[in-house]
Amino acid sequence: MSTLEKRKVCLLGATGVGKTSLVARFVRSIFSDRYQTTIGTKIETKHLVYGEHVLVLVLWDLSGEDEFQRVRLSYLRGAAGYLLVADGTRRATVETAMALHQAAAEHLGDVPRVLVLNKADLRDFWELDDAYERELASRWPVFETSAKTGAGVEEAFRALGNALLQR
Amino acid sequence: MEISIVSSILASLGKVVLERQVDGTFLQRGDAPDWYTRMTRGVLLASTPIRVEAMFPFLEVFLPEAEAVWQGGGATRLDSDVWCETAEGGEELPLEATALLVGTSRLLVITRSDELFHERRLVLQRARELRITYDALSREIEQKDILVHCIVHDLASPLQTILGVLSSLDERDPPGEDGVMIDLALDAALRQRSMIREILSVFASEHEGPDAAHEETVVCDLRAGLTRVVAEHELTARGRNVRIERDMPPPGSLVVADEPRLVRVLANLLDNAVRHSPVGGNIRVRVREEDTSIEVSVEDEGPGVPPSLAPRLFQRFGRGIGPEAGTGLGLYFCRITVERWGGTIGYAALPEGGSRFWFRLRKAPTSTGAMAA
Repeated sequence: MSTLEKRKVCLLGATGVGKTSLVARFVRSIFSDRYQTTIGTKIETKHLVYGEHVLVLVLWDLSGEDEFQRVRLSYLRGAAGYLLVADGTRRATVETAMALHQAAAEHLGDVPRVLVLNKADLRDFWELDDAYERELASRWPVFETSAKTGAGVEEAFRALGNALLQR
Repeated sequence: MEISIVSSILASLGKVVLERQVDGTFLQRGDAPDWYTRMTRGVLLASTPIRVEAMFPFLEVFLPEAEAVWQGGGATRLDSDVWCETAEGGEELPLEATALLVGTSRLLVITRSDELFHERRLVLQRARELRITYDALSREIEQKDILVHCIVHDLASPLQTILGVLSSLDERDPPGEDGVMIDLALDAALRQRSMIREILSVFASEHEGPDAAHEETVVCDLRAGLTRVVAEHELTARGRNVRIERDMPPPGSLVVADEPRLVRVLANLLDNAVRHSPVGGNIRVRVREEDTSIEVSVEDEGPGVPPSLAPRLFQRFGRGIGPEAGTGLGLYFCRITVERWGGTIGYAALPEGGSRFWFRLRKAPTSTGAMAA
């Protein structure tokens, strides 16, 4: 017998790391090189099938954290998990992701989350060395993704979805 | 105005009006705008109670806040932030919600706000693009600085050999023109070494970690540093028949600074003063004690700084690029160094002609200085 469950998932990260592009790639299999900043919150849904189970992810793509706009942490309310997104070509965005994780954990407690290092198609320009990535991987489920090529995107969301179903 | 006309106006403005029922469901009031009708796919009748948070997940976080309005007794209106739904075909629907209490009616108005949304996005996007460009340029400049530093550092190695050879030749005291040429070459090599050190010092100051900023713990004796620098410059000054007069801070005049760099700051100012002084001129080194700081100034009787250069005197290459300007980094080094200690530095043209360069350093808490002539 199949089951259907709905879960709210938030995407958190600095500006320009590719949160909206990841959602567009995951939900609609599209990518645009044209950068469009997110205002407020953008909400999309995606059905994931795990054998007999159907999981509906309601994806809350929150505007990036920077000096022009703060992430409204009240929007985390009701989230079952979150994706922290950083840009591998900008090390500072990993630090922003870590700070947002601290804030999210205070609101949500210990819920499933994954760390996504986006822009894997620009690997030659990454500011993260192997040792740093190993250190991150020792503390987090880490996925290298490229919203541009699609590499790793499905895997990251599926891993989070799987963790949500386990709870 | 009739209610039906008002309803049509609201719909044409992209607004749907919903009224909250006791059980937490909502009923549509009046006409629905096209975007709303498309979202409900025409299935719902206006009289069908709906769970708006199921249609618009964003409202899950807004409705609890809106309850405060609908309960009455406080504000009668609350606006949400803008949020974006994705309609079929990927169309973006920027929406805003407003909770209103009108009489006893608890209303929720959802408005499609494309224009405001796109204007805000345009402004924010431009700001963020500029920030990303700025960060990328900063990283590029830093990488180039490091490259230049490596090149300059490498240039210093063969220079050490050249200096060693020239010094050895000079010690043999060669006669006549050979001796003069060796002296000239030795002077030029020493000048070059000094310039390389200056460039490396600037690099080191610029790239010290943020922890080094406003160092509170470095303390040095101003009197010792000043005595040493003035003594080193008296010989050069005498060669040009320039006299250096100085105040001397008393022993125990401790300031927030580290001695090697304080000596370089003082040496920079005195170098400039000697270089620009007329033959037979005077240089005055003044020390003035204030409540919480000590000011050191160096005055000369040279031509002064052209007014057009004065505003950028302490910037990189502030005196232009050329033989007269040296590396163009000396005063820049002085500024970033003094500011790192929490001090200030400046320039003023003297009314009678000449220049006055000054810097002010914070007294260290243990300073016992009382001015001595």
